[in-house]
Amino acid sequence: MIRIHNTETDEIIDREMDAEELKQYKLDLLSAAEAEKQFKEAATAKEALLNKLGITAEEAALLLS
Amino acid sequence: MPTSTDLVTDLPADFEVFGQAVDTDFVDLLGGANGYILSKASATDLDFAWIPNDQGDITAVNVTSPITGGGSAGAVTIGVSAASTSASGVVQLSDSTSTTSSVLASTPTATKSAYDLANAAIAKSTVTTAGDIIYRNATVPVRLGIGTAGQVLTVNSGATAPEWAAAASGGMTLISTTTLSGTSTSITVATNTYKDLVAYIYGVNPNATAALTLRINGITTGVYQETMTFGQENGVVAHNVNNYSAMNLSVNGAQAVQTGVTTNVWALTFRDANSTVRKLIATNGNYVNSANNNVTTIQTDVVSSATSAITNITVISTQTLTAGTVQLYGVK
Repeated sequence: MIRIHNTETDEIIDREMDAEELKQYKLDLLSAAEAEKQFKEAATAKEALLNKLGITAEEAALLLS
Repeated sequence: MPTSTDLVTDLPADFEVFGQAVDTDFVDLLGGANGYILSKASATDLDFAWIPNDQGDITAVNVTSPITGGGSAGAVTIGVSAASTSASGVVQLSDSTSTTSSVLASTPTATKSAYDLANAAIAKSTVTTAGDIIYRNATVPVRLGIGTAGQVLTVNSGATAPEWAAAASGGMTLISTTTLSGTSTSITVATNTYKDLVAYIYGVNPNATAALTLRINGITTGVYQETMTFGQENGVVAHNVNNYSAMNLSVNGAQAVQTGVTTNVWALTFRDANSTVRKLIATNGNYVNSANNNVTTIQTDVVSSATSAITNITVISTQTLTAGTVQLYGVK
């Protein structure tokens, strides 16, 4: 379902996505999943590095300040 | 003719003379028509003429509407019908200036009252053009022509009259308030006259695993160069630089309800929204991460390759939204 709000006329239309919109929406789902995956990987890698160095995130930030 | 002292008479001849004299004297009595009457024709004795019997008093009263009654014998009664919108007749006068009657007629008193009001009113001819407004100068009502697009009504420097002037810049104007619905909510600003746009998104209630993204002008192809910092209250911090087909507002889903926490809010600034340069979008958001209930801060700086004025902002959710509000403001 998609909502379209025309702010000039204040008209609101709720309708099903057409084929093109649905296709793009499926791509958006993949993109969001990819973003989540990248953030998780970044957080995991960071945590692993801190463990390897034996310091906390605050100590790492202090080193870089 | 013989006299009473004549001794010898010739009666037949005398009667003939007499008869001829009578015929001569009363010849006017001959003729005439039924109902005719005798009338003196001159001052001469026995000079008469037959004339129609229509002399003297009225012989009949014949009437037509609105007069009623009439007759040709005895006492004759006549009247006049009352006037209406469909027939002539007599009308009652009225001083009223408020009656809606269709059968009363106004008096000069009523007419003057109406005239006095009309005379004291502002003349229609004061305004001449679409959009004109009327105000009073020192003495009389005058017109103020319509301003130009975007101008606002203000008071002149002498504080004596209204005038149109350019709107002051810098203030924020609420353009719209939109309730999020479904998986995609598109907000269109067909004519964007604002230099910058500011959007507040809050109260979003997606399912637990939903993630929110945002897109401008429907542009999809790898054009959101995103620098995102993502921190949670449990100490997890992540930093990511990448290109996406839409800018990320949340990762792992924004949880709608958690006791004691304002569940989510994002503030977005769209710089140079109505110009043809590439768009900078700065976002600060806070939400409760649905994956671990941690309050999450997300800061995103996006450069979009969009070089046309922003006329559309779309909020996309990976799950169906049941609540959420977008307030869109314009900044001159």
